[in-house]
Amino acid sequence: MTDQAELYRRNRTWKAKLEFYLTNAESIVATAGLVLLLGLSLAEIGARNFFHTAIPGADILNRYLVLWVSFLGAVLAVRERHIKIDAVAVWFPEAWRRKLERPIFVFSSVVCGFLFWAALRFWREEWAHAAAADKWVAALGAIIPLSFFLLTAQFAIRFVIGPRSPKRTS
Amino acid sequence: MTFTVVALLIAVAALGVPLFIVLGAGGLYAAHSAGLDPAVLIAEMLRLASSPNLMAIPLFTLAGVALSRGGAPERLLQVFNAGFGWMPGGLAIVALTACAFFTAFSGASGVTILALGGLLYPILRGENYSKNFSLGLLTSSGSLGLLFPPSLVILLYGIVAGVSIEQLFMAGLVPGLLLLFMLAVYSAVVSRHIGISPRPFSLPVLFSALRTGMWDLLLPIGIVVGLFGGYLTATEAASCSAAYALLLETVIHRRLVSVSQLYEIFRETIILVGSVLIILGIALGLTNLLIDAQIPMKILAALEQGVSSQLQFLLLLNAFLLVVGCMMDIFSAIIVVVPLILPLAQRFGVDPVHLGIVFLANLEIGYLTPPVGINLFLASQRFKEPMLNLFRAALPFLLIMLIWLALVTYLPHLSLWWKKI
Repeated sequence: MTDQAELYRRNRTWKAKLEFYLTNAESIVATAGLVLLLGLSLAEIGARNFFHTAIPGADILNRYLVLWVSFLGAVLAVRERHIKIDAVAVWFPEAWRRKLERPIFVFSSVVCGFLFWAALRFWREEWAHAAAADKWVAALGAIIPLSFFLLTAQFAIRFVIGPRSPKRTS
Repeated sequence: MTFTVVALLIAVAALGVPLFIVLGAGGLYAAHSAGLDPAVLIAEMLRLASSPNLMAIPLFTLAGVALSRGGAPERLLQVFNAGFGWMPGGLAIVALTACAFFTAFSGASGVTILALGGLLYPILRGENYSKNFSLGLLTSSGSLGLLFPPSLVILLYGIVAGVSIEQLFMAGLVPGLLLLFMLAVYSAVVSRHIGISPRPFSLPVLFSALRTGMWDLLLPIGIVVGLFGGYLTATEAASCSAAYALLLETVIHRRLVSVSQLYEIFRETIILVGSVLIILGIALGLTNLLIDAQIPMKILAALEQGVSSQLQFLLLLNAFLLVVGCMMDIFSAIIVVVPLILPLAQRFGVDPVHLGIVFLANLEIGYLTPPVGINLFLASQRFKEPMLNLFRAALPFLLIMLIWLALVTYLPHLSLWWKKI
């Protein structure tokens, strides 16, 4: 059972449910992206070596798939608390660390909110100026505003929910 | 004002704010002070999509996670035990090689301590190796192998510094083997001193271990031959490695047979990759703004007043990176520090490939130094020992690694021997 599934089993409030469904959706999309990345890169090697040809658009698609996998992975990593540096906080008592969590979530949410706003404006410009044939590439770039939106929301949700119990913050 | 903001950001990072948030806040501030639209940060982030080698990171990570979850550490341990267990200090050498091998695939060195440390510690103690020696060996082995292909930190350095990945892999081989050799000699001396007699060599045992482990061994051999023989690029090697590792664990060893197991492997990969690449994406924007603001040039101007030779620069670099290594994890350190020191190193005539090896060697050692050396921290969790005890136990290994660092830093030929061919 994943950490998120375990949290869901313990806590069935709407906030926990929302977090659970979002996590599942992100996991599925990111996994599909990684499977496609692997399949496409192998197909490209095959096409290049056996048929001396390239799959049209595969190179660009692969590069954007890396972005999708990475940015959705970052959102999942934040949800499951894999991203943290505890240079000083590691020496603090547990109670202090728990008190620090809410301010950290607010700060993180605000920073991600600004980045989301910048990313959305940037992406809309890209979309508006992309030639018809390149619209699909511009569409793939939507992962950056989307992931910053998800990060902003995630930190905000965590701020509302508050610190997890010590058992859950492994 | 800028100094205050930087100090504040360092303080919030120390309090536990994720590094990518700290870098994002720094980037937003830098863009604001330069009178630029923060969208420049996003434009830089999209530059990630133009890096041809970036694809190798998720795919090599996938290979490492599949092997790790599929039981490769146990199979490798059996092979190395049968192959090297008969030597003086055999079991310690087995531990060193298995850890190095596994770290090359798992990338982040902490994973090795968690995955192999628990397996090896009771075996070492069972063979009468002292508690201190066993703990020191396993704590320091956690970062061996970072210089061997297909190490993720080398890939990341190559991407950040814009240096050929193949050349970096080539450059890491001799320094990596040299460190293994130095630690193996020390282990042999200690085991002789303790009076541990080598075990007899058994060909049937070796064959039996090879039957199960040879498929795992073929993977790094394939990568090295493919890359250095010019048959594969780094990204092609990564795709083939991921496919091979999945085939190995699903069809040959049949350790990962259910869809849910495979899903978990992909998910773990995505999380590992995401937690590194988001930092890289955001740092690209910030470091670009810092470079635009001539920060490296200002550091260089300040540095040139006291530092006049390459030797002095390298000494200073070693001291600086040892501090960085014990404060930051290796991925973040590469992303944040490399773009700033690269122009300085070039100014003092340090080859960027050599700089990469020196950089990674320093950070490898930083993992063992307090206050927050991550190997000490993880080993303390794994072996339930205070960090100070582990530091004391790792001290002889740390001293050997410092001698090795001096050799790697001041003898560039160890890293650049292939340039003479």
